[in-house]
Amino acid sequence: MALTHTLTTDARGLTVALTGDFTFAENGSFRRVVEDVTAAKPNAVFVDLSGLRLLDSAGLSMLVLLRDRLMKSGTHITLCRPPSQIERILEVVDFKKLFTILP
Amino acid sequence: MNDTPTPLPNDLSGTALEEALAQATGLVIDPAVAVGKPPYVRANGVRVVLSSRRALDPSVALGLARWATTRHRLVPPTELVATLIREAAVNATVHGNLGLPGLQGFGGDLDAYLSAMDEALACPDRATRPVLFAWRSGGRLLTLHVRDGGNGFASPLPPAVGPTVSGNGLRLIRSIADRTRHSQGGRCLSVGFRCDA
Repeated sequence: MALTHTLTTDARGLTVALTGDFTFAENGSFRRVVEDVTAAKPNAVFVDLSGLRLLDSAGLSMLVLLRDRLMKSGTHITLCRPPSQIERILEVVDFKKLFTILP
Repeated sequence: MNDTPTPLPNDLSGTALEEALAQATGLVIDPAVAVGKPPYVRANGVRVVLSSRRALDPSVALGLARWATTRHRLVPPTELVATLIREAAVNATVHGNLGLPGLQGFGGDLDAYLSAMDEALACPDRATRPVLFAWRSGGRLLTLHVRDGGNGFASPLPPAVGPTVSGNGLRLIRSIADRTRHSQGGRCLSVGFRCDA
């Protein structure tokens, strides 16, 4: 299932809702996410993971990459609403050390 | 808990083999993309050898995971076993057959990484190298072997460190499997799961 994303802006910042499979095969799709998010120059970014079906190490790497890009401009990134199977993977790789993760 | 496995004959071939493989794993192996020795499915194991591109297909990982979790009493659920197999397939293909480092090896430059990937996949010599997947059952341990056709690694198992842009695949594999081992100069990853049957 292809990775798609939608952007919405409200008072708290920019929300990026990801849907589909965030895996190795979707590296190219995430390049557009990085471009769209950095172009918006938000103060804060919330990545809504609730629509994800799969997440693998390539997807994890992309999230770290996005975080590193945003940190250069002082933008805080938060991961939100991971489904249980995604939450388990985030725990395994200890992503709480890098990200704020909200249920 | 899973049902007791049904024994399979050991001498399947041709259509019978294809049907048994499809029934056991859900995998339909297209001869055009299956390379090397023919696949087999037995009571105590499954083996398929695929091209790099086919090995990256998520349905391969899911089929092999389903075989393991429905025929053996594994603790991890099918989705987690499939995640492990996908990680192993990506490592075997990208680092093994294509000979590329991880994203960190490109300084975190996603464009450079993806360009190198496209270039490597366009190279027939590297893109058609095989990836072998084999489940073997022995006693209370079910082992998956994933072997690539690359040049191997001098130090294939670096120590696990905190979360970074690279190395998360191995971290996932280690956390899901009960045992992890590299052999054949880094070309073969073997992961073991304790099971009851």
